[in-house]
Amino acid sequence: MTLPAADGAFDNSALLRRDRKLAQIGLFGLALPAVLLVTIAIVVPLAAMFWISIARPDGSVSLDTYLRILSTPVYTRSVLTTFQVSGMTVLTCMLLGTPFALVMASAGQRLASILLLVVMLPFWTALLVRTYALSVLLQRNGLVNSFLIDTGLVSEPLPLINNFFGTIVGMTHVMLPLFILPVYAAIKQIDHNIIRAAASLGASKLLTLRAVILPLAANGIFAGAVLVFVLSLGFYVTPAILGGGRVPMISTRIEQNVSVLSDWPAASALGVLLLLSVGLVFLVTFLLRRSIKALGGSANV
Amino acid sequence: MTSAAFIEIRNLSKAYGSFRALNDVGLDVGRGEFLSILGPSGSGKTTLLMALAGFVRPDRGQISVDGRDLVRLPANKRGIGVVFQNYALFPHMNVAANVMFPLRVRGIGRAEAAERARKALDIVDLANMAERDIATLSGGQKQRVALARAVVFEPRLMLMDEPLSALDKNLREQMQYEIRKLHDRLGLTTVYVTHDQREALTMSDRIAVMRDGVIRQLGTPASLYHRPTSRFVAEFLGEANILELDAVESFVAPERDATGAGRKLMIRAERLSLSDASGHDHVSLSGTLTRSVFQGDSWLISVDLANGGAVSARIAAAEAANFNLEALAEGAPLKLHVRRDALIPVIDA
Amino acid sequence: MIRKNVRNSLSACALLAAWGIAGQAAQAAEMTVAVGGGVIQEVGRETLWGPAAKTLGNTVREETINDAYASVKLQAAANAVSFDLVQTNAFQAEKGGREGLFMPLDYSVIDSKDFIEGTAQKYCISALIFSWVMAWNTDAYKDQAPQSWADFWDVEKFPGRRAMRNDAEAQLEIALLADGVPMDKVYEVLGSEGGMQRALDKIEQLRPHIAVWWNSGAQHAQLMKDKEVDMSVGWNARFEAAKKDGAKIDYTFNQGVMSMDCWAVPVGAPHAAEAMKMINEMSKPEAQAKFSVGVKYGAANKRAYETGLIPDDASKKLPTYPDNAAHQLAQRNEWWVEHVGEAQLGFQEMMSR
Repeated sequence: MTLPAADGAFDNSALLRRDRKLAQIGLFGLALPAVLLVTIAIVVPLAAMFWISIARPDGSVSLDTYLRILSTPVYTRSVLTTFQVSGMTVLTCMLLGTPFALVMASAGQRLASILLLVVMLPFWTALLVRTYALSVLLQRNGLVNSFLIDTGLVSEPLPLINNFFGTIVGMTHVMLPLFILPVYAAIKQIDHNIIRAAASLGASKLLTLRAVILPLAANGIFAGAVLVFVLSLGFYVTPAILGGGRVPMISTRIEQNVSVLSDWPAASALGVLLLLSVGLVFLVTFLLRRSIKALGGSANV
Repeated sequence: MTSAAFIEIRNLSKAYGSFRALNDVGLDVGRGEFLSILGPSGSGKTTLLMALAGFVRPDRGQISVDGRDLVRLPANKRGIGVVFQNYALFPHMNVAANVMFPLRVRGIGRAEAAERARKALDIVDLANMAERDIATLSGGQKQRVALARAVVFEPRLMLMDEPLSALDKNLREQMQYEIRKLHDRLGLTTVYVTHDQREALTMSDRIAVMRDGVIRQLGTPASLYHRPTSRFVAEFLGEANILELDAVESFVAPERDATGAGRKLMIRAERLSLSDASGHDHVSLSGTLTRSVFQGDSWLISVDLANGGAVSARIAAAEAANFNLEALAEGAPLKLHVRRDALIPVIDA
Repeated sequence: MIRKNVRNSLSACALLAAWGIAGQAAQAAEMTVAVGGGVIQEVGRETLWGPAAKTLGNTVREETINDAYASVKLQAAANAVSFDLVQTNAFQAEKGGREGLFMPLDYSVIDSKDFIEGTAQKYCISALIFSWVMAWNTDAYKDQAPQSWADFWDVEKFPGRRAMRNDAEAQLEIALLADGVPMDKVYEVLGSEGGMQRALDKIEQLRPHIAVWWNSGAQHAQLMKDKEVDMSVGWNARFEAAKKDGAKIDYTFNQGVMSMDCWAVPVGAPHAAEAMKMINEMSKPEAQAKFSVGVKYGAANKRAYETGLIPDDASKKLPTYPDNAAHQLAQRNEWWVEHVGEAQLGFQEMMSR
């Protein structure tokens, strides 16, 4: 059959453009529920929070609340504490989680699944229960101190809880799985032959780890660290219970402003500051990664 | 091979559960030799190579290189160059750093390492790419970097695990030539694993054909191609017609070999000809044409033989023109001729 | 035709009858009672608003809320107040009352003459009373038990680890009591120039011995049970439960600070007048006694202890039992509402210094 030759009959571009546009609209339709949810559940409350933090009762707008917070030692100290706790948590997660992820990635299938189970186990228990369980372990007459005293390693119970140390133990316990999983995934992704190649070229296991595996897992370690840091910034339960009142996080101050002081502008301003901190972390991360990438070419043994 | 063999492999066995990857393998490789290990996937060829490299611990058997027992020596102490499938370059280092890696590991200073790396890159024609990121290289360039990295510390023995399998055909043929040239130039001993029979035939001094964890035949490319001892080797290396022994009149061979395995008759497709070259050193096979396919430089025709069985024959373009093959209809009677010494009895396995 | 008419008139009768019943029901109010859930809601339904509504011919719809002040504030902001009665803590009631969220209670309807002094306030009247008391480890202080807040501060006579709450509420009053301020002068001193600082300084003086600033009710009883601390400020009911569980602890009501949860009526409540009547019913000695037994909190109506509904041994463990109440301080929320910001910030500052 021959198609009738009409003017411009062979130029389909307009029709194709329309098809593309329709396909795009269709895709957007699929994403619509998620877009709506994000708008309603995140954007609107955030906007409200920001508004509350700057609105005066008479309807005018000012940064008074922020100035008040930034000039009150109780708040500035809690910002510092929050960053200290988050940074320390990242550090302990790195020190404990990276070797664990390495073992997991190099273990046989059965051992690897057992280790994965061990990592995931805490996720199946309520946070509050886990935190109280930790306090049973760490308190003055807890299992750890009893053991240390019975074995004569210490004569007085160590202060393992109701302080900064206890908070870090609890935070690490909560955050470790979130750190291990991306690191494990990153190590697992490394082509096995690359590790073999390093050995064939004469590198010992330790050197291979240092010069090849860790640099290649850096993305995962980085992702895990950022995730842990950001989540730690907003953490409430663990510092509140294991800190013994000595580790006042920003979240603690927000809670006090809402439930004790009914000072919603201050609570909102603290929330905005917390959010800005998270943004700052991401910005620093981004810049850091760019400069690392720029240096990456000359990475060497 | 004599006891002066560079590599000696004796009674090597390796099992993964009930799967026997290597089954009592023995192999000698001479100094300076280019030996290919050819076989289908799962034949044990990579396991054998990895046992040489030190990444597979054999259950039983011995490996020695240059008189030194290797079985319990860790991979990083063997000093063997290895080129992997997919190159296995370090993606976080640039070209120069990759090539310098084995030197730096050996405690060689940065300046000397850089100089030697530059020379190695020069050998593979990549001297101007030293500062490039790995991710910016083409497949062929990556392969060259991998080669430079494997030779830069001057190993005596080079192991290659299907190094060209990811490249396209043209590049592949060029690299085959270059690898062989490098081998000759540096006086290496190379063990080269491939599943590509053409590659093995092109590059090797000798080929070991493996199947099911066993070396089925070892020999020069020509001897393996022309005088396979088994149906498997015959078919793996080229177009082989397998016929019953009595399909060709006056061909006499023992029906079974010493071990009692059944025998068949093998004729390479390109050894069959339409030209009548009568004489006592030729035999003729009559039949009818069932199919003819034009393939550019040659025709591939299928013929049902009068004595039973069927053969495929590859007819060169010139000969096909002489016989006006194009005009022949299916069902036309035909006579194929073959030299007597191209009739090869093979074990039917 | 005739049959159809009959049917029509029959259905008309039915309609009339139904309308009559509905009209009658409309006279009884459906009261919306907002409470915090848990055992208080269950026992309250049995002993307080359930019987009260029945007596008054009302029905009750319950709402379970987390934060009474926040809920009412949101409803008021949306001009859609639906609660008639709200149970809240006295601080929030006072604060909300001053902000116009709660209406003054009508004490011409509510009979509060037998209530403990200070428990029938302008915007709210006590629903239950608990007390901030001192508990100690009976093993640690075998020979002599601490009896006052002054003892709590006396680390020479009573060496050991202390716990206080990480919140200024009641801790300031306790500090002044420890510093020798008589009970009836506590709020006077707190309100005077430098009074709050005096309380904060007093706590700071004890700070090296405070091992834990506790955060939740569950936590502070556990601290005592686990011997993590030897002495703690805490809630009477929690200590009583721990003691009953066999923990080696005891506590005293002496110099305790009584706090309360109370009933308030939001401004704009649909049935405010009925709500006052409900509160009156719920404030009667019998209702208070029954509720007190069920929830193990103190009743504010003193005559509850004369009803015979509270068993003798149980009554002595309640903070409002006359002998107990006599040695305690009723918390004054007016002071807290006026000074909460500076008090809490000052307390946090002192804690984290």
